[in-house]
This record gives sequence, C-alpha cells and structure tokens, in this order.
Amino acid sequence: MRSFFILLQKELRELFTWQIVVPIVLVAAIFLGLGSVISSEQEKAKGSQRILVVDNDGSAASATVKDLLGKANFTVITASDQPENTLVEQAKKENTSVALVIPKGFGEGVASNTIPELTSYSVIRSFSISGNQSGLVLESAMQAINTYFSAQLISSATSIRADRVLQPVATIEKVAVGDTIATGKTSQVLGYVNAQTLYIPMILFLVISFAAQMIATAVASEKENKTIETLLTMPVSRKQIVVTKMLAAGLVALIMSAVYMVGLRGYVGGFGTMGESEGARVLIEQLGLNFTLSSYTLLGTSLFMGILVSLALALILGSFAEDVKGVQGLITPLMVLVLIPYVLSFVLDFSSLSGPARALIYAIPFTHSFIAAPNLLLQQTTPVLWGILYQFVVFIIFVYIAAKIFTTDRIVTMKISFSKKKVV
Amino acid sequence: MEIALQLTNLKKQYGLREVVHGISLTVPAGEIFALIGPNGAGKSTTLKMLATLLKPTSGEVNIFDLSVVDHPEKVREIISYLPEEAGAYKNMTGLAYLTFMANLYTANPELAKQFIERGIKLADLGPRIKDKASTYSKGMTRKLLLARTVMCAPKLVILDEPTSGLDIINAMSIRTTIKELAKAGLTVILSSHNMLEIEYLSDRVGLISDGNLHDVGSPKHLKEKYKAENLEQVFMRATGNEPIKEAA
Repeated sequence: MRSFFILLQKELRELFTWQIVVPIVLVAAIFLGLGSVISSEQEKAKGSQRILVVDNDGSAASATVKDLLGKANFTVITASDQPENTLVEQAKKENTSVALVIPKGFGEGVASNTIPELTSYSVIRSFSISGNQSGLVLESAMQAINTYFSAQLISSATSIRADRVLQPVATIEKVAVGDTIATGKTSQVLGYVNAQTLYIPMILFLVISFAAQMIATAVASEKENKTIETLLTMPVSRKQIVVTKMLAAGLVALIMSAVYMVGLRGYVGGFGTMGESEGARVLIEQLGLNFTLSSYTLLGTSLFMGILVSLALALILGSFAEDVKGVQGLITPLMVLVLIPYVLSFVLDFSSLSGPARALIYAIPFTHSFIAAPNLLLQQTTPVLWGILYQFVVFIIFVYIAAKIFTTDRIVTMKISFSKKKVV
Repeated sequence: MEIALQLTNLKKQYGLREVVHGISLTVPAGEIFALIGPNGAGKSTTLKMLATLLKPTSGEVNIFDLSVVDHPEKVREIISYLPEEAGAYKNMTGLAYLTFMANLYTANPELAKQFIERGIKLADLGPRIKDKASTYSKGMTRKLLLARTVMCAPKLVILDEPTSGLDIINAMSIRTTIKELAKAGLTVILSSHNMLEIEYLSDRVGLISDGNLHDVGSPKHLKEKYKAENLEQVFMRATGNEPIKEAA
C-alpha cells in the first residue's frame, strides 16, 4: 500500500507541471473573460439604441412613427433630407447602425387607400448578433408600426374590434414533460434548459480530450525518457503502476473539470438571461425540469465514468507510442469517438434514430455522458443508469487490456511510430 | 557454492523470429559475469528476460532459485536492472529520484534512509544531487542511475552496457564502483561492446553471437583456449569469423 501512494505521488508530481496547469487555468480564465465581455455587450445591446430619422413629412403619422420607435427603446436623432450615401455616412459618424426615412406624403398615404413606404437602412459592420442588435430591433419596431396603423385603419373603417382582426384566433400553448403538463412555450423550455446545461458537454469534451492526452503522454514520455524499463523492474506490482497512472490522471481531470466548470459557467452565463425570464422559470418549476441532488449525483457519475473510459483507452493507445510526438496521432481515434456524440448531441435526438444508427451511437461509451444531463432533466433515470453500467463494463474491459499490456512483454515491445519507420 | 543465476535452454522469439537460441548458463553468487557480442547478438534480450521485462518463449531462468516466469514479483525484490538507454525523471532532482526508488524497495524509513545515503555517495554528484535530473550531463545521469541500481543492496545486478557513450573518466569511475561492489559480494551480470572493459571487470565472460552462446570462461582461460592476445580475437575465433592460429 505504501508503494501505491509513492507511485501515486510520483504520477501526480509528473502531471502537475506548469506545462499542464497553466493551459488549464488559462483556458478557464479566457472563457470567464469571454463571458464577462459577452455579458457587457449584451447589456449594452439591451440599452437604448440610436436611430437616425429623416422626416420629410412632418405629419401626425410621422410623429407617431417616431413615438413608436421611442417605445421600441430607440433614441431618435433627427437628420435632414439627403442622398442615401451621405445618410449612411452620417449614421456611421453618429455611431448608429440604423436609419429610417419617412417620405413626404406618408401621412396622406396612411389616410388614403394607398400603401405608403418607409425606407430603413441597416449598416452591417460584422455578422455577430450583438453587432447587429439595432437592425434586429428595428425589424420588430417596423412590425409594431404596421400593427399600429393596421389597428387604426380597422377601427376607422369598420366596427369590428381591431385586435380580433389582427389576431382572430388566440392560442393557449402547453408543454408536457413526462406526466406533467404546464402552460408555456417549447422555445421557453429549450432556452432555459440550454442556458442551464450548455456548458456540460463543453466541459466534458475539454476534460476528456485533455485527460486522454495527459495519460497517453505520461506513458509515452516514460518510454521516450527511458524510465519505463526501470520502473517495470522495481519491486512493485504492474497493476499498481497502471492504477496509479490512471488515478493520478483521474484526479487531475476532476480538478480540471472544476476549474473549467467555473470558466464555462461564466462563459455561458455571459449570454445573459437568455431563456431565463421569470415566466420560463415558473414553467420550468411546474414541469419539474430542475436537477435534484440525486440527479446531480447520477450526472457526476456518468461524466466521471466517461472520463475514466477515456483514460483507460488513452492508456492503451499511449502504450503504442514510441515517443511523445506520436501521442497525438495515436489518440486521434479516441478524439473522434468523443467528437461524434459531442457534435450530434446538439442537433439530434438519439432516441428517435433508426435502429442501427442508434445502436452505433449508443455503442460509443461517451454518448451516455453527453445525454445524461437532458435525460435526467426529463426524469428519465433508467437510460442514465444503463448508460453508467455500460460505461463501467467498457471501463473494466479497457483496464483489463491495459493491465495485460503492462504485465506482459507488450509494454516494452509494441510500438507504432508516426515518424521514420525503424527496424526494431 | 550458491548459484545466483541458472539459465536452461533459454529461447526468445519475436513473432516468428527467434533471437535467442537455447542459452544455458550458470553463474555463481559473487561473480561478475559479462556477455559480449555485437549489436543484435541477443545480449540485451537475454538481460531483459533476466530482469523480468521480457517473458522467455521457452526454457528456464532461475535467480537464486526463483523462476522469473513463475515469481517475477519476488525476483524483482532481489534484482536491480540498469537498461542500456535509461533515463531519470526529468522533473525530479537526483535526490528525489533516489528517494523515490529507495522507498519503492523498502517500507522501512530507516532502511530507505540508508539506501539514499548510499546512493548519494555512489552517485558522487556533490551539491548537484539537489539539481533537477534534466540539467545533468550524460555521465552524471549514468552515475545517478548506477547508484540507484546498486544502492538498495540487491542480490543480483544486471547492467546493460553500463558505460556506453561515456567519457573515459566517467566510464572509469563506474567500472571502479562495479568492481568494489563485487568485492563486497554482489553478483553482477553485465553486457558490453568494450572488450577492454570486460577484461578488466569480469571474472568470466560468455561469447554471444546471433542468439547463440558460443563459449564461457574466464578471460585468461579463453585467451589460452583460442590462442588469442585479447578478447576481441577470442570472440572472432570462437564465433568462427577468424581461424585459430597455431603457435609458431
């Protein structure tokens, strides 16, 4: 037992180097920083937007348009009549990206049986959502202007209630999760759940990739630095060597998860209260879509099993490496296995896939870690438990293979070189 | 006479290629025994089988009556192996490396302390023992590794090319250490290309080529048998690469 702790201490010392710690902390800090930048940009976007308005009509109708723009949180800056090129230039100078031209005769047009036109300009400086927030808000403001004038026209021309014409059918939207039904929209549920769980697959992907790289490099560097043969002839059990290597990498992976959790939670939190309105929160509460202590425990177990499977597989793959340079190529199959469920979990519902496709995706042990969070929110505990059991079985098989490699000639003799082919 | 090492018809195959063809050998305790032969002769493979790194395809290896196949973990408690191209953990200081290895050999802190003190003395690195191994020269690393190999008082030491690639001063220092340790009763099995080194160090040598052990004897006996002036000639004649010349 004493030798176990001595080996574990040595493995931890080998892993906790500046080269490992600095990138982890740096990545987490970058995400945290990005979160705060995004958050402040969102706040800015939520604030009052500036719009350049050329009012060539000066009528009551044009005043109403400006008033409606004000209600849509725009600060109206009045501009003189000018060609559109110079108007766009002025908009840029005024540090606004939207402008609106109300033509002469707009008010008369509204009153008569014609369709008057308003011309809007959006200056696109980038393709980001926050950079084009003003343009997006202007689009909805124009809809509000149309709705307002529609209501005016209906009221003046008929005795029918304007709101009935504009929305003749009222819809009551309900969502059902399991046996619980509540009033609300699917988009509200999706927005809230995504805001709560988006960072989980990101962490899992980062941690699995990093941990796999770490343990494969640990084995490869023992080979490269010619320390493995000495270690294997020491009076310690080979199984202890395997277990301590995995345990040390597992511990580092856990610490890494915690650090990334802080960083990515901050990053995702930077997107603000997207989907986290009071209405959505009540809806989520009614539907019971919250993590409980037991679901958190199951989620943690599933994520940790995913990490352990990747460590065991990476240990096997790392045993083939002749040197550290060869590690990247060797763990590529593992990275592909992680990448497939990671990418697909964002767009597909695995349970609705056809039989063979579903079997294939569920055969990847990492899939179960990626789908654990949504399954637990939906109170589908059984597939999560089966997933954990499957991961455990795969883990045991991989550990058995790794132990076999370390207890036989193979750890010394097997190698795949990605550089120059050597005759051994 | 206590038998330290007994090889019986030892064979090793990599896939279909047999690289060691039935070597049989007995080494008594306290002897320095050297395997000499060219690259690819099967020296390192044989030593790796003794060190429990490779499993023999057939035949037997017994070290102080313990089979390396049946009791590899027990064998590792009484042997110590220095591979030809060994390194130390680069993030550790020389002292931390010796401490780590000593603690793997014994659970007794007092004994571990004695091993470490012995290792420091044998490594003879002065204050540099507290520097990281990554800053050591090849000679310093080799001295540290040799110190690690012998500090824990194993019963049998296996040294694969112990002075390979070292300058004259470091090589001499290592040879002297090996000789002194053998005087104290340690059994040493080593391999080398350097025939002068072998002649200086060994009580007996085994001539190995293409996985076959051609002859075994003391350097003096072999030189007489093959009417040779040195071990190089002995090797050439024993392996059939040069005819034995009759005295004029």
